[in-house]
Amino acid sequence: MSKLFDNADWTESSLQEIWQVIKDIAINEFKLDFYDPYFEVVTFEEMLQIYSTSFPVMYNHWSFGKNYEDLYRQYKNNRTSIAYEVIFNTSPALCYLLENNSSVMQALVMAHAAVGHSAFFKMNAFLRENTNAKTIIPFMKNMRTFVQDCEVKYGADRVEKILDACISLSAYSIDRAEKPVYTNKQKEAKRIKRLDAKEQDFDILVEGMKDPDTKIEKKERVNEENLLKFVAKYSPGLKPWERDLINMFCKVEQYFYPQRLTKTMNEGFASFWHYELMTRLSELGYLKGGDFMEFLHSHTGVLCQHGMEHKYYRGLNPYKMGYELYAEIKRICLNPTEEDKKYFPQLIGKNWIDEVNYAAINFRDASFIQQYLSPKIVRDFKLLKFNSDSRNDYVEVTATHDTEDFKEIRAGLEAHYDYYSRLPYITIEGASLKGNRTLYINVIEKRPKEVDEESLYYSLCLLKKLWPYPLNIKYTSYNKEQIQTTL
Amino acid sequence: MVNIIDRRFTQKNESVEDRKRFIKRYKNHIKRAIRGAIAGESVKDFKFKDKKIKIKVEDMEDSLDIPSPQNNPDAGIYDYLHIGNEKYKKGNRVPRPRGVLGRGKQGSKDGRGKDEFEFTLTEKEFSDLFFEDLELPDMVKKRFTGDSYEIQRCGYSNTGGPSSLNVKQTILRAFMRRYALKKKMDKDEEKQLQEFLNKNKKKIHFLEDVDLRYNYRDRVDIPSTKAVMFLLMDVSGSMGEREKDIAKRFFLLMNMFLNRNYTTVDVVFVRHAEWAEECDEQTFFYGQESGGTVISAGLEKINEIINSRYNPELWNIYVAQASDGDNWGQDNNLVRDLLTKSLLPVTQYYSYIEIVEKDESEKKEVYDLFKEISGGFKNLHARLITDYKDIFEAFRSLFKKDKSK
Repeated sequence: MSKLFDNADWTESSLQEIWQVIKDIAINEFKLDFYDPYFEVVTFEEMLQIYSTSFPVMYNHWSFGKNYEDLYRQYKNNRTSIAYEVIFNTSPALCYLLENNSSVMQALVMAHAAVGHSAFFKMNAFLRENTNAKTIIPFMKNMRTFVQDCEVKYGADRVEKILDACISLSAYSIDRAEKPVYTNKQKEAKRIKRLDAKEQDFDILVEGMKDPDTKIEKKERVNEENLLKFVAKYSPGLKPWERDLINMFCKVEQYFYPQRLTKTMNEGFASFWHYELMTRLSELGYLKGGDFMEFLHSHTGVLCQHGMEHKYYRGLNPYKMGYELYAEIKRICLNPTEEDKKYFPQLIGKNWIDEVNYAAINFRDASFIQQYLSPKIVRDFKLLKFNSDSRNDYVEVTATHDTEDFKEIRAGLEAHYDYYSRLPYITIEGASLKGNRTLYINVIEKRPKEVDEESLYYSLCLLKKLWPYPLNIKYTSYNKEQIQTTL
Repeated sequence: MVNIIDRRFTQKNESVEDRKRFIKRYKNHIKRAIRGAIAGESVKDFKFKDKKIKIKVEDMEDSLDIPSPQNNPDAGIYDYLHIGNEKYKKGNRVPRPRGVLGRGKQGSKDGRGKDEFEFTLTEKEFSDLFFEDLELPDMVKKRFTGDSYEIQRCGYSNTGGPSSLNVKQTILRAFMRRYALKKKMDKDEEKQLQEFLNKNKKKIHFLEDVDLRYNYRDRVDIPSTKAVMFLLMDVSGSMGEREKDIAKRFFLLMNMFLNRNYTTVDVVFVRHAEWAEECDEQTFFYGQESGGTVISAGLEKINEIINSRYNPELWNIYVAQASDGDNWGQDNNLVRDLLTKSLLPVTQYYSYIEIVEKDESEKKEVYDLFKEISGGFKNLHARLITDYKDIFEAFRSLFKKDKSK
């Protein structure tokens, strides 16, 4: 086989060639299924800009400007290394490559993002159920122009205030489970067809004309988790365009929601496959020895994991943890030990490629840990679990990497990766729409003094911009004591 | 073939808009930070350049950051995990750690901590924010001196070179002419026209000479805004290093402010004790002199320079005077005369700052004199400065936008 490239400088045709080789190996040997990529080579500033808005097409908001400045400062001060690539869960997959990557780095990021991430986006069931990769770009474009129009028509200040309130409560603008249950297959097909049509041309006029439903009474106890959606639907003080804006915001959050819960799996999957792909390229003679060393240098840099005593320790590295979990599946399939036979009988003697892809399809971070964390990883990582009680001035070690503590460590790690379980539990109990328009909010404490009251009340004050009538907050503490306040 | 697009040379730069909004939102904080940055800056190096600005996030009385409901990181009972255990065994008790072990360090959501938010303002943004709400006092003289002009397009002419032919206007007129000939005519008229054409052996041409129109350009004088700034400082023995430094900072601000508003600004340094002379910047600020103080000498010198070099008809004249308030007692009347009769009528703006120690602020004879004169002249303003931090405020108060307008 001839070398893919002679020197570190890439050209457009050399990128084409690299991609062709990587794509063939990924599809034919590794049975990966991914969206067609759409590469864009960008400068460092634009990379930061895309990074700061977290989507290539985004409405304008001051917080993105702040993010940008923050990132810019961090990169300038060498606090973080620059992102070599960014990819989005879209179809075709928008993949941004940094201009000053060398040829090897471009091959690496293509394998990482355009194959690894993209395949995960397309294959993972949780992502596929919650997002529609085909329609998200037109939707975001639509939203961007909608926000711009609103700023012209109704004033930038009002738009900004609504977006501030939305961003503040963004963790509470998600439908975690789809509510309507359809049993009839025809009805279901019709509904999906209708949803698709609706998504393709989101009609602002029609959506805006709908009157807010005024039937909800407090007694009905809706127990709604999606605060923003409820407010958008029932708030008596909102104008139609404001309802639309909030609904659009909810949709964007819904799009990002599964990515937050699959971060470790996603990064691990991409890292795992870029390693396999680059190794394969080297085996087939496409890479020179020095090029492979350059790849290994970056690879180990990304997967670097310091121990807790190290001065650069920054907690668990999701790339490393994810990578090790997939690599473990491969190892167990190929060289199982006695212990593995006890813990993972379903993997023994199977094809590792199928098993790795099966894992990527069927889990999210928490359940993935539950299913695939092996005692060997716990031992290698020397994981330990602390229990902290704020009443004591010490913390206690409750589990170490000993085999008998394995299940406890696993449960702890599982909880570690469940982002939303670490937020205060807030629901809307109901609203008296025919009475004094009070909104009843329920805050439940899951562990003592868990809720940061200051941040809670600050953000509920922002909510008041969307619901300009009394807010009744029922605060149930850990000991089942109830405090009621009205804002 | 996969799509590969090189975006390096067609950058969209969309972050500009978000950045503008960010600066708008944090305007007050940034302004405060700018004031702090000036105080610490050495006089020599200070100029408008890209500038690092630090905002203390803690300081924000009204939290402008978007608050979101969060859990207390350290409250209650909870479990957490770490990697790389080398020494702990099950059941060990460790004093509640700060930083690495606990979650204290990760308290803020983005791991940045609540210290300072630092970013860089561009030169333009910086000077805009710096001089916001300030304006030049009115009565700016703009004169057509004839030495600055612009070539502008001034309609069309029917003569000119072929290169300046205006095709659109020419064709338009040709159409009009030919359309006019198509109007319904009586038989007589038609006959007449036909005869006329036959007699002159002419056809109706597509273009006639009368249709031709040329672009016309003309020289337009533009009013020139020239300004001269006189810096007048007392260099007598009583002016110490501190007073000079404060005066210098004030003059710097003044100079930058004028430079923003005028195309050309001349700066004339005049120093005085018992005598007065025009000098260069170096001697002005760092020259060592001693002696008594006679303000009128300085004023006379300025008057002399104006008469010889800066015609008040053509120049916008600004005077900034700094003094420590000492003056030879019998000189005050002369000062009053000079100001009211010759200087104030021709200057745009005359600012007087008196630099005094905090404890001797009652000794302000000259200040009172200027205050008294400023009753009759709106272009005279006087301020007392006791400390470095007053400089910016004094400057702002001198040039504050008149809200009544």
